[in-house]
Amino acid sequence: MTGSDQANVAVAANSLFKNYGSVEALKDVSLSINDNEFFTLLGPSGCGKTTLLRIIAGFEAITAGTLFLHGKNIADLPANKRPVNTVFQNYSLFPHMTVADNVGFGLEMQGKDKQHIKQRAGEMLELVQLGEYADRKPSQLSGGQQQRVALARALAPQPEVLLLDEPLSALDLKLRKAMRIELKQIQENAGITFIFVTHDQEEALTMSDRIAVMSQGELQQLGTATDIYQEPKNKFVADFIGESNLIASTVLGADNNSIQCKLTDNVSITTPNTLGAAPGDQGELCIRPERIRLSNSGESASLEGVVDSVMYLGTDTQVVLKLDDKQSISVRTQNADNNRAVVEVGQRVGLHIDESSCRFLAG
Amino acid sequence: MSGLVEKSSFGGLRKPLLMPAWVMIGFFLIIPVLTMLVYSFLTKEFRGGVIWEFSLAAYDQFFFDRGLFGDEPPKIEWTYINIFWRSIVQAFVATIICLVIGFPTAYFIATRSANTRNIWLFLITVPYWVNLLIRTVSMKFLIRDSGPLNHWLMQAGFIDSPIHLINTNFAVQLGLFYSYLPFMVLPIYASVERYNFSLSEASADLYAGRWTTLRRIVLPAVKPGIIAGCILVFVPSLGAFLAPDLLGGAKNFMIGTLIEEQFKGASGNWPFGAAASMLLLSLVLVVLLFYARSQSKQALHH
Amino acid sequence: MKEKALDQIKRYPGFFPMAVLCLFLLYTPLIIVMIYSFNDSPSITRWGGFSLRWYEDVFFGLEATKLRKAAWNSVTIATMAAICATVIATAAAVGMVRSAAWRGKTASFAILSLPIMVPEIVTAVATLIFFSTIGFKAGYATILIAHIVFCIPFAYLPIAARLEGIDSNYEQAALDLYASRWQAFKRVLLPLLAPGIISGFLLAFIISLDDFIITNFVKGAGIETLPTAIFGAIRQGIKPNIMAISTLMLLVSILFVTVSYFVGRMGETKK
Repeated sequence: MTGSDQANVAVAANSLFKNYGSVEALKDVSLSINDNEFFTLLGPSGCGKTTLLRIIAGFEAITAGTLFLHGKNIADLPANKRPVNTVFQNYSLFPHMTVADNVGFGLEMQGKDKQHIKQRAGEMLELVQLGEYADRKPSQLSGGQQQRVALARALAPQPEVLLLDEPLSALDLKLRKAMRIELKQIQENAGITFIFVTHDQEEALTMSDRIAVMSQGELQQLGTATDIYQEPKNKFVADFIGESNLIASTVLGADNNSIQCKLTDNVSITTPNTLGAAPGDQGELCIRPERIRLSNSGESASLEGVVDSVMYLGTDTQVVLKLDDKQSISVRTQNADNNRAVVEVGQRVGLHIDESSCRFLAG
Repeated sequence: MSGLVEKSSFGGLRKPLLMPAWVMIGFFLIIPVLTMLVYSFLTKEFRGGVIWEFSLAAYDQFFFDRGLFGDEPPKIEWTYINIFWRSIVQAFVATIICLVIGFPTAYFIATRSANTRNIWLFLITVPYWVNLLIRTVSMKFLIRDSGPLNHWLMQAGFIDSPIHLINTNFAVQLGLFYSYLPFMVLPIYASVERYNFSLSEASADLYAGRWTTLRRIVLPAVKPGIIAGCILVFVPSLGAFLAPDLLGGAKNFMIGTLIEEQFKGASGNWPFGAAASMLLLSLVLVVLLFYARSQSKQALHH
Repeated sequence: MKEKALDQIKRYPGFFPMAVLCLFLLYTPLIIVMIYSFNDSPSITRWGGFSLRWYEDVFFGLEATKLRKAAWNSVTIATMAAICATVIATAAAVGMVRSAAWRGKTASFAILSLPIMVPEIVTAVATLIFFSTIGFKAGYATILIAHIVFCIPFAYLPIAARLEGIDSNYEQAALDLYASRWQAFKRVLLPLLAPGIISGFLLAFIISLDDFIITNFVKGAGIETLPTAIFGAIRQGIKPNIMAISTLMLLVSILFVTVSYFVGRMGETKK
């Protein structure tokens, strides 16, 4: 119903529930995924993202809720009748078949003629730059090559939606980074909706058009990469995506545009009121470490702290400070010049917080 | 609501896939065992067979002696209890021999390189594939009074007259050991192979000697394999027929030979044979239940 | 020197001699019988020179027809029993291994392994009593049925073990690529499972060929298999022709275990 009205919605899920015995793997998950979108399900292991993917693929049945693919109810359709293909985490290439037979398998099962299968398999292997490996067995390929074959195999039958279950997790870091760019390009060229599952936030942030953050079977937030980084809706998202200082706080005063939150006994912070907080609300103040600037004693600062530890990380330096009320706070400063030792342990420094970037998250 | 999705994988076909096995085993093993249970409570017919009349005679004969004419006050009948007891002892001794020789062998094999390991495993498995009857006959041939073993020993001057091995308890133990040794080696091998040898290194690092390491670290780790091996040797030994029959002779009866006698020709006693079989089966089930309990306890610990 | 001392953490003196003793005990009786099967002397104890006369006796002697018939029965029963048991066990293995935990799983596994757990002599007695109660005439068919049942767990174990090592994602990938359940089984699971199925078949075949106790109970009067024929013959003492038959059966067993071994390794390298 939801899906049928809008032509550009590829997958529409409404109030999905999935129970394994007494374990609730999915709790009331609703989302819609658009055509040609690179959509990512992001969350820690056990959050339900893979369950959701397997439900869309047809490997798991829904306990309650509805599921539409291009307006068609697919909740009862078995996997082999859904125009949806999967790239498996460990690729699951059939070890007893050649690369070309693997890529052609879906078309063969659809009953396409041999000439067409051969041609299409060849095209797909060219697309992933493995044209000359057609007659090899999967075990004779490297991990990265197997990954490409798995992609070619899933794309060959031209599915309406491609599902990718942590496809990069088995690759080493360099290859993983290269594949991110390549995957995104392939998605743009093929014009197919990609639903990508990962626990790696960097992967999610770099590739996705939109990201759904999940935790404990529930959808926590859905939005673009900037949305979920800059406007986290709750403590889980703020904590899971990037680093943040989460400091217990109370709303002191609020109007439609901004709120004053308590930081320490005598310092408060004014932030945009994006989530509709009211005076007296208890919660946490989210301050990104890179949005704090440190100053030496010469400059006047409303907030001061003592340096507890300094960690050099290459591109930047992480400094942990103790505020006067013993609260710890972490700060990241970019190593833009050669003056590495910005501060020293035990030194007293001033903190300048970019208040407009902070968010108050009601607890 | 989404039965079709679940049914589309093999999991959904569970019942039809398992049905043939259930039916075959249920119809031709479980029902027969139940029929046997019924038979053990029937009355004996003199030409071998039964009369369909309820009777406790079979069990009574097993446990009690009521004299030649059955009119004396019942005394405990030790003959059959002794046969059961002897079988348990024989099976136990055979299991111990298997363990004493099998454990070092399994451990040795598991610590070889992959290729050597495969050759050893192959050599250990080959005899298991050889017909049990032929193996038992070979053993009988070898240890007979006038067999090659005694012949050589006498020629070499170790002994003056043949050692009498055949038709002794020891011959039966040897035969059982010979029949089931691979059952001891293979499960122990499997668990030693899974054993993480850096644990031995950690033990040595903490000043334990080799034998202490074996006792305190290795043995507890491979215990499941040892128990499995012991069960796999003990259970078939208990009901063995060929080894006691061919190597033990008339004096060294075990349960298997006792049961077999009851079904041979007209002299047999089917209800008594059925009762003895039920008692053997119960004995085995007790051992297996004990094993299953120790297994599930271990599963709980991990 | 030093390396050796360090390596000794996991080695124990005496274990190697034990392993050698183990092999010695396992093989001596078999080798002795093999040697004496070539003994020319009719007395089985004294060595009378090399000869093939007992093999000739097995194939062309007085008992040759009887033995040939017994061998034929053994081989045909073993073949049919192993085929049936393997088919049943393959289906059961897929049903067991590929289903999520369910209430009857442990019970179902117990049923499948029951023929191994129940002592052979008890199975033999129960089967005899059962067939005699329902009035089924003892003979070829009763032996075959008993063998199929007895062989199921022996075929099941290697097949299930192999299946457990095959990621279920393979079938799911096939289903995902529009294969029907039957196509997914035939095109993906069956080729991957083949080494397990072959091992299961060979084991079931050998177990059936070896069986003495159950056959002896359910065979009835007019029919013999090789083991029952041999057992009948040695009642009158071990004759040299028995040793010749034993040697021949030994070679068949070695052939089987070799085939099974190489099939197993093939499976390993394929993975």
